[in-house]
Amino acid sequence: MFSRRVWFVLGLGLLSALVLAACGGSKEGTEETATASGGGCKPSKSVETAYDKAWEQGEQALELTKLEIPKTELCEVDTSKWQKEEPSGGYKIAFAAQGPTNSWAAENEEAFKTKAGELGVEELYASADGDATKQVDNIQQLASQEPDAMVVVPMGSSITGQVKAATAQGIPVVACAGTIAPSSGVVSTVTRSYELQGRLWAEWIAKQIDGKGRIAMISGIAGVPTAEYPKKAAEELFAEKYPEIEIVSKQYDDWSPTKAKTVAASLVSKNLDAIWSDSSFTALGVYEAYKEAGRPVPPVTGDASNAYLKAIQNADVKFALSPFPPEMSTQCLETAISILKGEPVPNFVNVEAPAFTDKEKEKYLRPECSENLWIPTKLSDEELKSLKLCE
Amino acid sequence: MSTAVATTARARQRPRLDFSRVARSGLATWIVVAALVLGLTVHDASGFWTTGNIANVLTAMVVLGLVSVGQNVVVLTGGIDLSVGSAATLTGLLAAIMIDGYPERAIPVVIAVLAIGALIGVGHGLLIARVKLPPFVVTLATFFILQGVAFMITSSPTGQVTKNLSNFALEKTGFFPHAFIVLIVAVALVAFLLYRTALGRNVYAVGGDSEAARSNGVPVTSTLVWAYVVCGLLAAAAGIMLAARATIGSPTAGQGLELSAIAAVVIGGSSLMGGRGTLVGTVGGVLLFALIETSFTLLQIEATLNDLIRGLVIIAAAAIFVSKDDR
Amino acid sequence: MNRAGALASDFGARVAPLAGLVIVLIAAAITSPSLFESSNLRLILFQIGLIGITALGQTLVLLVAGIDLSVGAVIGLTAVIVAAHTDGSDGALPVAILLAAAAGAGVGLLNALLVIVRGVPPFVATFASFVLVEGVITAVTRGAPSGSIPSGLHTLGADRVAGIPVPLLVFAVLALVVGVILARTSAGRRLYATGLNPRAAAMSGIRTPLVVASAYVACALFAVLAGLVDAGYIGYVDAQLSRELNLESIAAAVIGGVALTGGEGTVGQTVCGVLLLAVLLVWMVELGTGVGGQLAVEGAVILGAVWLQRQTLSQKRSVKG
Repeated sequence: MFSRRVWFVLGLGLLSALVLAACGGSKEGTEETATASGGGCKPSKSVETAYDKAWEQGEQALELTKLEIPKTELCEVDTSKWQKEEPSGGYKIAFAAQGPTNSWAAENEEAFKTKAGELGVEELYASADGDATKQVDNIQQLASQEPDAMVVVPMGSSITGQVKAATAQGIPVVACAGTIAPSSGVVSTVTRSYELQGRLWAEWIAKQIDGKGRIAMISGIAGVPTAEYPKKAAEELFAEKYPEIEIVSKQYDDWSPTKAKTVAASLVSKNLDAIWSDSSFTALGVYEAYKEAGRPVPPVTGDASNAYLKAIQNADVKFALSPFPPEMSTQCLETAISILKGEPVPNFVNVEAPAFTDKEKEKYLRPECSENLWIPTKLSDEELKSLKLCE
Repeated sequence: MSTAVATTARARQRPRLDFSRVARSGLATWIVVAALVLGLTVHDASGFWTTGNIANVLTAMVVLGLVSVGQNVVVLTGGIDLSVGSAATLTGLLAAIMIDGYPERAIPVVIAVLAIGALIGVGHGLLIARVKLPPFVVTLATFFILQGVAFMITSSPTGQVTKNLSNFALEKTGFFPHAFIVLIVAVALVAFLLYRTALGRNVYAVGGDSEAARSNGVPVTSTLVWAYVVCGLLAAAAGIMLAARATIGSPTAGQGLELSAIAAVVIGGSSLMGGRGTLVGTVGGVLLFALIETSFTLLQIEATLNDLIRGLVIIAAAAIFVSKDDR
Repeated sequence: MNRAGALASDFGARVAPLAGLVIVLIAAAITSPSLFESSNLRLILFQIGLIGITALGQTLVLLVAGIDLSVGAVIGLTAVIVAAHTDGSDGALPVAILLAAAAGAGVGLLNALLVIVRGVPPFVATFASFVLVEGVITAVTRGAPSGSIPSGLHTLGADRVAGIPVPLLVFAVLALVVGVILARTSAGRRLYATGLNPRAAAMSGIRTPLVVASAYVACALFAVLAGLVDAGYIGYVDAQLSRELNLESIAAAVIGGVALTGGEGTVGQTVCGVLLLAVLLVWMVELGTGVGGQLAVEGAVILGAVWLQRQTLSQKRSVKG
């Protein structure tokens, strides 16, 4: 009897609340603090050219005909309001990093640290341990130590509010190797475009199978922007341009090669013509699964790791890789410094990295280096050695 | 003869510091907290005792504190709730989606979302108390189900909370983050419930020995349901705070909260067998975690050592202060 | 007591997880017949092997009223040790395996010490050692594990004998051994007695701390073996997998009907739970439901399986009473 009463009260509360909620009203704007797209952002030819350059390289390397570049708002941000005299000890720049949970992050953070040392910047570091909830606190903690600028490797969308609070406090924020919603007021975003990645892989897949056939899509971690946005871009492209490509299955593999292999093993029986994936962990798992089943490996995509190239170096596999270089953190740092110097910066920096296919695998393979190396690397031999990545 | 035995027993007891009694009162964690604060003060007083840093510590307590206090009520009944992280994720996501930037909707949606949290609790309570399924299994199942539902709704960020809500979650006065009020209110309400009402006495009775409680006329079923309702409600409150701070809805926002919450409750001196534990201890456990997490950044500790330190602290706290009769 | 009735309902309790398995198999066969094609079948068999090995260890710990959340960390630790020590050379493999086993046993011993000597609840003790072991891995490897997995492990993880994946064979042999030990030896009886009522067991002369410690160490060693299987399966140090196998090993045992309160459950039940979970996981991928659907169904099946057991169990109780 008791529980029926509880159900009743709760149900009633829920219902009335929802009815109330549905009653009209007007929506609040989100763009109020958006620095980038606001008045201080001028259209700029050079920014657009720089953005397109990464697309052109991918287009040529993957032997694709004219890619359609999706419309992106590109401009040059006037950073005079962030300008700050360099203190005698150098700028203090906060780095809200992923934390050394995998080799990508380890390289990402090592590169930042080295660059900061070179430029005489004082680094204020925080590790999110791969966790968006922790990063929310990290950003507040970093902001409270009053750095001159902040570079954030976003772990998830839940940091948006805290980034907004940091910019409101007068700290210019650079989004690094990922995107943060514009409402956060982030000044510049430095990353390899998710749209570029997703579409490049999708176009290459479409070319391999002549625009028709059965494919599967395997992405990293559900809900994580680095997995969701390229996936979305590819899905849109397939839907618009290639109606005859059927996406048989969409899966996640948590960027775990083991899980990728089990997922791919369950796809073997589906007679796929190609597999779109966002990482070379996945590509590795796909290769292992098909090899074990004794079937030819379908064309596959991903980012570029030495592990994958080592695994397939003697195999006949068709693939297209487009790197998501961890060292882009140095570019993020440089952008942050430019902002502090009051130099105009692009609102979006499309990180250039050479995409390549199986035809060039010898060129990029590093047999003397660990499987954990992300290629092609810009880290120096010393740094690679100190990270135990190369001999 | 009996006097001789009594004397020797007393003699044996006197020199031994009774850790388990300290642990039971929930004071033990506060001793660790005090030691840590002392250490941090000695190490870097000017960095630690700034208004900014204190605000950071308090802010880091809010979400974990809400789920831990709820967890504590469930643990006192001898239960466990593994689903609080997923529940917070789902409710936070729903809050952001339903509010969607309309100020008029904020209050009704907050109420609705709290009701959803309570409903989740009712479901848990009934399955555990009526159907008599083990709490661990029920909440392990809903841990998957609720996260699953969140992903069914969306796998990328959507929705938007109102400015008032996000300002409330982000703003502070001096060292005092406004969001901390929510935790204070929650702790006060739960403390009232536990220590001043029949329900509170029943919670302890059911956790101590549910059969004995039943034969003494304690309404075991309704007590259990209420305990899980409180837990669900507070998980929803945590979800709303997550969404408010994020400003948008994220389908992964609360992942991993459950283990930290359970650890905080146990380190705070509550017994997972039920019937024993205090809110003071749990809040101490939450504060301990918040101190550790903020200190990593404050002291710029090498990130590769973070997990090692976390693990050592939990082990040390658990090994020293968890009382021995807790099997 | 009505002996025949009790026997019949005992049978009922055994059959409950089987019934769940049959239901899932039928539903799977109807919705996606391709599930039983050879490649999928092989995958299911492999999953049974990998999850099963961890679930056996978990069962031992559950039987002494414990739980082990550090399984996943030990799996990761094993892969890291093997990769670092051998750096791909088969010759160094035996020593590497010994090192990994020693490290695993160390973690098991740490869990046991915390639980027995300090009386820390197993849930928290093993969670703490999970965090600690992950911490050690990160601190030593600095986030990027070095070295590579020797190809010799491939036999263990990815080879087949007569079409059957080696991990499944390993699991089958181990299940048999553990099953016999639990059901037929005095060691098994001591384990059950300790789990049911440690005080009574201690009074009857059983050295309960030793029994509990053996369970945790055995569980950790099973995790080491699972780590070797996994490393062999993919030939790569996989840092992402660890958390998942924690929950899956517990879920498998619990679905099968092993009680969390200790002393109740058999290897047969765990095997049933493992079969059900493995089929379920592959089926969900096969169905192509989104990640949300997969999680929701996984949760629902756990709930359903345990509910089913509850029904037969309460019948059993009523027969006894």
